[in-house]
Amino acid sequence: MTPHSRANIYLGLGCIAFAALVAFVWVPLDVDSGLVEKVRRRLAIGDALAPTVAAVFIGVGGLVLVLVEGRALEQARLRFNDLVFVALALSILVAGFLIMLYAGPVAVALFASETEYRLLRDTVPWKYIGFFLGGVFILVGLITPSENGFRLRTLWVAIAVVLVLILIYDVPFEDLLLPPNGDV
Amino acid sequence: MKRLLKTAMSTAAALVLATAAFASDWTPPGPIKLMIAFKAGGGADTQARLIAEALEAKMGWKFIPEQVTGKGGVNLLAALKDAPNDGTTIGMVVTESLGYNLAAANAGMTPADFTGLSTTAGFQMGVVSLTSKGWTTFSDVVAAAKGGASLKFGAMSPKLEDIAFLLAEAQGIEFNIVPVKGGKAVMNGVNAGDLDLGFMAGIQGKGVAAGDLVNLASGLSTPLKQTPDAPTLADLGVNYNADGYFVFVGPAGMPEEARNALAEAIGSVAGDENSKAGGIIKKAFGGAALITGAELDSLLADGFTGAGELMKAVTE
Repeated sequence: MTPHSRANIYLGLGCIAFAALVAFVWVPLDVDSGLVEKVRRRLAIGDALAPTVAAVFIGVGGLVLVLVEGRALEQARLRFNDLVFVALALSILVAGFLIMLYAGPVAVALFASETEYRLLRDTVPWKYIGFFLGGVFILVGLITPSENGFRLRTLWVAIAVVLVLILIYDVPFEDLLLPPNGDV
Repeated sequence: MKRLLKTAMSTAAALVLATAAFASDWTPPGPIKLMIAFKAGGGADTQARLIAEALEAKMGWKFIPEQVTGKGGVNLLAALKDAPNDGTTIGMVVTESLGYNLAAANAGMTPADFTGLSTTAGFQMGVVSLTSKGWTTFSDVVAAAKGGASLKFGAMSPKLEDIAFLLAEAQGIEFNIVPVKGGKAVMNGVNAGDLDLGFMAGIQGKGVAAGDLVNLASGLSTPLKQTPDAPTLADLGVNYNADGYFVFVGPAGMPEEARNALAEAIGSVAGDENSKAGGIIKKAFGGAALITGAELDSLLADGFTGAGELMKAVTE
């Protein structure tokens, strides 16, 4: 904690920018109806009203942070290391999900090129490749920094966890697909 | 001439046989994603899943059912439109999804973006309430509304919301129209007392037979099979109706052999009253109604082009 921190101002400006983006770009592009619309000869609430009201609340919250709390003495301070940690965690998750998404199709392209992954998404062993490799990668990737280095035990724990997830969510259910197989 | 006719006839017969053989030879190249446009446990969901189950046993095909609900089937159509058209992705919607709902959504899609496979059953669309409400005919509802009761009316699609609005208008009353996801949700709402009455497309059959629910009016152009004495919408002053079918569709451009094989397979199960699916269809909808091929194409196209009239009626 330090009186010189400007964290509230940055956070407030971020909220205002996000609110403006929602209200003026996202909602108009994504929602056909207006704030109110005439339905069956009567005025009714349009689909755009709720997200616009939410954006207003976020924007007002941002303004309060900038104008009222901007010079508050007790503010959290954003350190470079915090940003590095967030970036690292996000990168591990993104890389893990990419592995989950593409490991299966790559394996099929290499070892069963006469067909395509989509048609094998419910066939052992193909359907497990992405979930297994991506899941193990994410778990090892997130545990390793908190243990200050890689340990072989972490790998075994990750493998065991992913296998248990497969046993719980896939094996008993005929019609349930593990990620990413529902979206291919 | 006779000879020419004979040759033509036998050529035609050979062609038909060849097509039929081709159709029955078709097998899906992988598991079939079966998207279902309405809530789990409802009429559409139940028959779609039972048909899939029966086809898995009969044909050895593999189905992966998935709920893609919302906007009366339009969300499903948006997801289906660009899916692979090799027969491995199909959807269960209602004819209205490709008609009024698609037109109202203004989502840049038309029935030409899809391949109709087969209908399974026609709606038995009724205006339904709990028997314990004490209403035996629709005029009791009108009397209650005129007596000052605020009535919540459940409808599972924009078209039905419009029809409910016109029904109230024709009777000089007002409904608080509540949009819900699927006829099962209307039934749950009515049973729980959250809704006073609402449209149900056949799922009410068991409840009506048991005396718990009552069909107050037919939402169709014809009387309901189960309650033939209930007035039709036309009898109640509404010039529109909620006639329609449950229908399986795929993305546009499906190969003919896949389309024919899927339609034939669906029909063989839905039309078999001894199968679980056929039994349910018989019970809830009075039997299968199987429309395929060009007849289905024109049914879907007509529903889309005719949607404008009802929309106009509720806005002008």
